Amino acid sequence: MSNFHSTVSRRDFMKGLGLVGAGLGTATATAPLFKDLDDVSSSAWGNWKRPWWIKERELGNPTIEINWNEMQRFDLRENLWMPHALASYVGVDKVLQIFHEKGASQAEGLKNNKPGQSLRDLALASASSTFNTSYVPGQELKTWLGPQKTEFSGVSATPEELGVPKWEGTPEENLKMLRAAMRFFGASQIAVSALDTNERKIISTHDTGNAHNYNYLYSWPPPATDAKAFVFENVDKAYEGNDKYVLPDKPLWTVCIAVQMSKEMFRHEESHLRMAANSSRYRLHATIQYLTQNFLRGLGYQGMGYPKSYWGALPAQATAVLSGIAEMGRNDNYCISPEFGSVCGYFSLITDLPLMPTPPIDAGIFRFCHTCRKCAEACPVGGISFEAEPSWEIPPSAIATDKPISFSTPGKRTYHTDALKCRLYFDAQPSYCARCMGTCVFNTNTSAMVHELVKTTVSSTGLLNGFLWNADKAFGYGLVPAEETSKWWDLSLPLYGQDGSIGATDGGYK
Amino acid sequence: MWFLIGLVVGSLITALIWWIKKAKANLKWYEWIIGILGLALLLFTVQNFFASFAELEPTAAYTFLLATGLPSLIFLVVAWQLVTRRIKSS
Repeated sequence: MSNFHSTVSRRDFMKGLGLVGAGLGTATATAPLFKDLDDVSSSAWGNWKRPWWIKERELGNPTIEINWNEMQRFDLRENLWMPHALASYVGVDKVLQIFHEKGASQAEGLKNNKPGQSLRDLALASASSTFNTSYVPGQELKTWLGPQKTEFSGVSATPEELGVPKWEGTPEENLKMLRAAMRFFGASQIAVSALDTNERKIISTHDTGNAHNYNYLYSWPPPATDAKAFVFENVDKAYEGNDKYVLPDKPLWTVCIAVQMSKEMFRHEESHLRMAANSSRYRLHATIQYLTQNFLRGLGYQGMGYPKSYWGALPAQATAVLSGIAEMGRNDNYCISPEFGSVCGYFSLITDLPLMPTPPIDAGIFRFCHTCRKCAEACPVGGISFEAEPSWEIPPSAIATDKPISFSTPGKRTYHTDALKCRLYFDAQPSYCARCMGTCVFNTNTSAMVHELVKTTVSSTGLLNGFLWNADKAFGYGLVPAEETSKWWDLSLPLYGQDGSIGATDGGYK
Repeated sequence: MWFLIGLVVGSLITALIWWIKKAKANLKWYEWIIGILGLALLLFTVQNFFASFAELEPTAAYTFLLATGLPSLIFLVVAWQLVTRRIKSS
């Protein structure tokens, strides 16, 4: 018999061919399906290719319910970062006491060389907050309109000055262009919502301006020149007056800007390292805003940004949810992105460059938060709601049950965090607190494939949410013990402490 | 890493098919399923184990060995035993 005689029968051979064919066919059928879904997803967000499991919702309809009829413009001077606002609940003496407690705990950490609170940690946190606001002379990057006088180098000439028409593109083209520019300037991602009648209701009545000054503990309100009003006027161009920031009453768009922060540093409880990471978003934002305003000026348009401080005309988390970068979380002080997780900062910029609005998303995140209570369990003062369902009613603070809430607005069905409880603890720590963000189930890195599997599952069904929350705890994800904080200084981490390749699909960087 | 894993797994599959032919094993459909599940779970475990260390999550890494690694070994052993015991009895 020939040595090459096959022992495989004709029947088995054909069976094998059929199986291989079926396998190849399945693979071929599946690949373009996912590719098609990716293409469908990416078109809603321009040149941002998002995972297929992130679903779009219709514009203005995010996963948290909003009653626009109840929504009211908020006075930013009443936010609890303002000493006056805090004192209106707990009294001036308590505010000053907390201020001194913070100083004392900081000094104690320095003296005892506590992990995360040593001299080098504090120096990093302080340095990281350079350019955060325009309060410090020489650090005035943040302004309402950005650079206005053409300079030889560093300030764009307008098309008018160059003798050419201003840039004209379709809203889709403009979104792609602006995203490419802003990613280059340092934004992790951008998305857009139309500043329509509804969204105008979340424009603050006033900027914080200098209202953070402790002198205003004793005399309130600050003069209009110190905390200017945001107003609409029938003008073609935005401008800044003595006592107002003026928006033109014409079609405008809000650009939500996401700036990632270091996931590792946010796992370090109340250390200065966490503060350094937190400050980094404001520092990066200052540059991003200035460069973007400059870019828009060069195209013949305007960008109305954060005038001076940490706040802009609209609450940035709201714009993140409305424009589809993120969903709301259980703690209504921060939102959660499917790509960046819980440790991400958001900012807003208003422009008259026509842009394609991007839809809100459903990645199962807010639904997951209905089950998970990891942030609530991590909060040292129990400030985050443990309720099973979100509500329209804003409960009074446990600290001041007889006082109405003036630091939040009705019109959204969320889990309402007792921000006053949070602030009193927060302000007394050497470097504030963000345990909730650091411990969140969605604060995971991107190397282990299980994270993508979890996010896909969470997006597809809520049946396993309880199991996944418990698994997260069992696998040890979350905050790093204080004694291990100093190890950060030995790590080799990416540029700016963040994964800049997220959202990049060209160039072979992933 | 995946390239090396691919080489190793490819070699193992080749060796497995050679052995199946030599022993005239003729695997049952459920033996294939259990074996493939075990291999997939093993690869999942290996990837998450090393990646968890890279993510500075050693607890997660070791928990993967227990939570998914152990079941993967059980699946593979069961598939192996089903096949070898059937061959012995025949």
